[in-house]
Amino acid sequence: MSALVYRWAAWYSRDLPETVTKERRDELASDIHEHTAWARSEGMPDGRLSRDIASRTVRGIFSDLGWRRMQLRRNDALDPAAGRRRRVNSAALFLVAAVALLIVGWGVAVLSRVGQRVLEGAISPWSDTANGVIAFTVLATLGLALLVRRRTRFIGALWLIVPAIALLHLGTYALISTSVTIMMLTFNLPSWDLLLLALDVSVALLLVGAALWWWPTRSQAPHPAPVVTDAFAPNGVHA
Amino acid sequence: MKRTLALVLMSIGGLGAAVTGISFAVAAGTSLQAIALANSESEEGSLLGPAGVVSPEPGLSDDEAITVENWVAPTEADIPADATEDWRTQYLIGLKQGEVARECMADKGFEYIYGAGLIDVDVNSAWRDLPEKEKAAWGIAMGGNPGVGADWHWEDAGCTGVALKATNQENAN
Repeated sequence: MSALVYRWAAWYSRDLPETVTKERRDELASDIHEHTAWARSEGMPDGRLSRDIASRTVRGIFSDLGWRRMQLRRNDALDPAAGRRRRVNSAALFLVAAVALLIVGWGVAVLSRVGQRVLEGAISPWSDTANGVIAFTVLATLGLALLVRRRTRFIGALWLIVPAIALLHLGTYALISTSVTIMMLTFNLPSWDLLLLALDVSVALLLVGAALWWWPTRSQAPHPAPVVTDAFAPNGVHA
Repeated sequence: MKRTLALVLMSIGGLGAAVTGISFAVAAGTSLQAIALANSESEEGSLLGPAGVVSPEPGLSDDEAITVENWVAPTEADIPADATEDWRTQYLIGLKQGEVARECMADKGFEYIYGAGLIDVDVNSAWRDLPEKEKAAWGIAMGGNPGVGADWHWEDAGCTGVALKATNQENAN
């Protein structure tokens, strides 16, 4: 159970100066140690002790997040450049994840439409286009998974470029013969090709930019950050 | 420098994607509205149905099934005076496709039904009242069992494919 508590603490104290996270870890370790010692002296079974710690962790989630928010605000005030970097980082992650989710969703939507028409016996299954949509939807999902870890985020952004563009085109291509609406639009919307091209270029630029932003620097050592000590953080620990 | 370039690229890309997405939604909505309006205003019916489903011939209402017997060959006199050249061309192609599809379906023992292939549009009592099994058989005769996208071949697309081939539109997709 302690390992889970430490992982949670590592997550909500990310991007904070090492001194602050270390201090938080030490306080947590002390708190858990005291709780464990007390439980042992009371003859409490291990199972109940684990449940108690888990319960305290869950009940402290909002306080932990509040603590994080306060620490970030204080660090941003002391180092505005770091604050800007963090905000850009969050915005980039939000945008790229949204694009990845939209792309995967688009692939799934196209496949469900094609599958529906196959079940109706209207079209042949396993066409090259449908297989392409399946393959690129899987690739886009892998790209989405690569965004989860910070270390692989830049690979994920680059990875997503090909499936994103391929799915935009293959998906609409597949829908021409399975959706009256898309067929009508491809024939009647004069700017169709231009809009698709603009979307290709925009998505590619966004993903390349994000990959560049997340590209690992030669030195992985954290940059010097201002120290926020107890003098600035009067709140207690919620293990 | 690297971060600045990344920021510029992300800004242009994000803004471009948002603007393109909104433009696409607006253009698609406008286009579909225009198509719906053209369909509702036109006494001759829609010119913009799926391949092989064409406008009804002059003298027949939307609710009347077109058959080989009651079909009247259209003439250029049926085209509105203010029709553009593109409209005229599409109209004639559509009518020709209808003619070919009708003959093809008759060869297969089916009656050609106007508007039968339109999805979610209850256009025709002849189609509405057809038993489901016959609808399926009719659909296969009319649309065949083609592939999707690059795998679409007019030879596999039933009478739709034949009509498209006859009007040199088989690669229009």
